[in-house]
Amino acid sequence: MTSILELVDVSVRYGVGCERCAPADGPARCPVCGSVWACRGLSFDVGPGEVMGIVGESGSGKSTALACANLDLVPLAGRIRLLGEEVTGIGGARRRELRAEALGIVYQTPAQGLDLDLTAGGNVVSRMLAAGVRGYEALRRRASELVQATELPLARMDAVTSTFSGGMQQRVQVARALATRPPILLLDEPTSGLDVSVQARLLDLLRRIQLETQVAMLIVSHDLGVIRMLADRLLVMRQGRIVERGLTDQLLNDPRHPYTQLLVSSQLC
Amino acid sequence: MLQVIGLRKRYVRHLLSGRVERVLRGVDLEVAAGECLVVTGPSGSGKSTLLRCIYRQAIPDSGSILLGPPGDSIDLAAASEREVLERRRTTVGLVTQFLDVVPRIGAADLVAQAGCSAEEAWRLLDRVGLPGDLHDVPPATFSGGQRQLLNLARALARPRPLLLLDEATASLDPSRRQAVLRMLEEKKHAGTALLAVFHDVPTAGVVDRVVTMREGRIAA
Repeated sequence: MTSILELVDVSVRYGVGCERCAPADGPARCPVCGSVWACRGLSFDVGPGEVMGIVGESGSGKSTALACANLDLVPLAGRIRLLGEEVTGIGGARRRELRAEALGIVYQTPAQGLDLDLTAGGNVVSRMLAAGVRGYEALRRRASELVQATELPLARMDAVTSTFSGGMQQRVQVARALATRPPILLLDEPTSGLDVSVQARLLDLLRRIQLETQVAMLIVSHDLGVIRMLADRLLVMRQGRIVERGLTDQLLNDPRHPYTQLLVSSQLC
Repeated sequence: MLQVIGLRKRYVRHLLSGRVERVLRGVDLEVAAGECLVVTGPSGSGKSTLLRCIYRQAIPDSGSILLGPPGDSIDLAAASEREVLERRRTTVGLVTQFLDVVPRIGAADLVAQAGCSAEEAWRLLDRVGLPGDLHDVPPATFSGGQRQLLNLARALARPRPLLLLDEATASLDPSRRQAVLRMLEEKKHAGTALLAVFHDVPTAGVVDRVVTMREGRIAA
């Protein structure tokens, strides 16, 4: 099976680094030069139709891992492959192409993923235009398809996104991310900041879309409930490293690393 | 169909200053296709952990879990995550007392998601005895027994050669329990291997053999 996304031994450092930096078992922040090692030797892959979760506390490196996957960041060391293609450090037109066609991303805050001054339809269409889709009819048809699939009121398709509620804006992000039918969707804390009933609706939507389209997902969250509902497999990150990995239900039932045990025991319900 | 050899499992509680519980201390058992083996024993003797290890919801420390016909089996104790997921789809099902599905999706849809058509899902829910007016209701408000019936229907949604049952009838009234046991018996006669944990072992019908666990071992 060819992986959709593969990270091999990826390390990311914020800061200049020094020769005393980041021994394998040291702290993520270098006591000498102050650099932060957000990812250290990170390796995992996501296959077609698979849902992989990453949990960990704030600062554990999970969002940095996602940024590498989205080709936003070039790792200091290691390799990234997308659909079998070596994409580490790739730039220019090919990077734009891959981001438009092979990757879809949903950020924690809608302002990161959307142009809030555009309409819902406009946000969806602009992504299709970036991927080279042309023709008013085709664009309009796909945009309304997506608006319906993400349970947004069709009547609001031409309303400016800044007038939407937080939950609706997240759904516009999902619609935009899916517009070009990418084989993988990256989700960075997609439900935090939403109230619980809106959170539940968004999770149900993501699950339904996954079942229907078999899109692969890489989902980063600090909420084990979100992960349990969506992910088949799970990575637990701490201080830039993967401390435990396994099937989601196995990690929740039989956490073996002290940090995973703490996470599972800290869950509210 | 299933051969468990020398299975050991301990839990290390890091939050309790590393306290160690030895839950399985060398378990051996075998279940053939079309056979029902019942495991019984006092609470805490390791019965559920045994089933969890076989379903790979827990990782054993040592031993093997050979699934499949002799000569063409896979060791679930050492299998990769993807191999385990694949076997869960095709070969081994687990029925527990707990609800581990999205509580906001209708019961029949949950059954269909487990691998059958919508019509088949309604038929299965009828057969396990879930009242018809609950078929399209999300299970958040279901009673313990109704949840068990739903779990059972999900496990039966596609044919799997091995079913693991963890107190799968514990919350059912006597007549529903009898109906479920009859269904399991039919499955068994059709060739499904059953490994079932019961506190209260059914006296007749589906059961072929009974073993008792004590302190992490098969005692008899």
